[in-house]
Amino acid sequence: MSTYPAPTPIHEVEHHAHTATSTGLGNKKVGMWLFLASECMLFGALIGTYLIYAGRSVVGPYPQDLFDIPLTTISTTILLASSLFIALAVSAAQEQNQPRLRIWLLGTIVMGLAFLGIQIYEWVHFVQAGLYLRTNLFGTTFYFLTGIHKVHLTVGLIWLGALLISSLRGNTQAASHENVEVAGLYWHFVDLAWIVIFAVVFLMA
Amino acid sequence: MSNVTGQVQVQPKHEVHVSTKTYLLVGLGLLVLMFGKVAVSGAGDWKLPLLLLLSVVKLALVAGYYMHLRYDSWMFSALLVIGTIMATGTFLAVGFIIRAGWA
Repeated sequence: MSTYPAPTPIHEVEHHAHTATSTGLGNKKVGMWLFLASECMLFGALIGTYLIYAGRSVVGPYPQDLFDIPLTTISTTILLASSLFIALAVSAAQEQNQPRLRIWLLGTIVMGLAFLGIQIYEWVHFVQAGLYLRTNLFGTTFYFLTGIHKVHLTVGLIWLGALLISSLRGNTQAASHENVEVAGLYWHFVDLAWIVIFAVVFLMA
Repeated sequence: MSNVTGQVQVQPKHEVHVSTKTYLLVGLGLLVLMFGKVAVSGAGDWKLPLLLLLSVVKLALVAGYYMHLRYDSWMFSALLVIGTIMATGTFLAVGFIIRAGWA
């Protein structure tokens, strides 16, 4: 009877080797970049709609009555810090340093939650000032644009939370470098979208 | 290496590694640019071009360093450029539809 060497566990094979592709690029990464290219169109349409309707509201409140630029600047700083943290998380994942990966993922999530909290606080303040979705064109386009951004941010937080839980449970395959990098690309895009929104919506008001 | 259909299969290239120092410097640059944007928001006639310029520099820093486009395959950069062109096209189309009174 012949004997065979013990097979390598499948998770180890997948962890140490990348699947060969016809382009030499990881499929997940290519898929994410294609998705982000399509997301450019979505945010392009939303920001375009906001800009085209800007200044056409016939009743108040108007942007200059509501915007608190120092507060929005703080929230933007927090989001930029989260982008730095996720970049460091990707670096830690590349070095297969799971403890450091967990710290940076947690930091990113905390920063993301803080940004979301400030944004919700701003919305509550706007509603108290009388700006609803149907109050005027500014209300409709502003809530829709920033709301879609918040939805993206929330999806990113859930994704990062799932990666953190996977890492804490010792599932290094789920929290692999490629998976963290793809989640990081998504998170950076959310940051990129906010950079444009901050300039176009808040600072140009 | 080729598969049964004769299609050439290539192992993905080794991942790029950016140093922590570079990430921190980019983060500092982004912070400075953000406060620069706030400062120029009261710059009168120069407000719009300055804000656009600073935003483009910020976008380039995030995409180039944090998203690794500076080090990664040109295909990813091409996808982002295509996405930006499509976004501009969508923006112009939406503007035309609204200004023409079709919406």
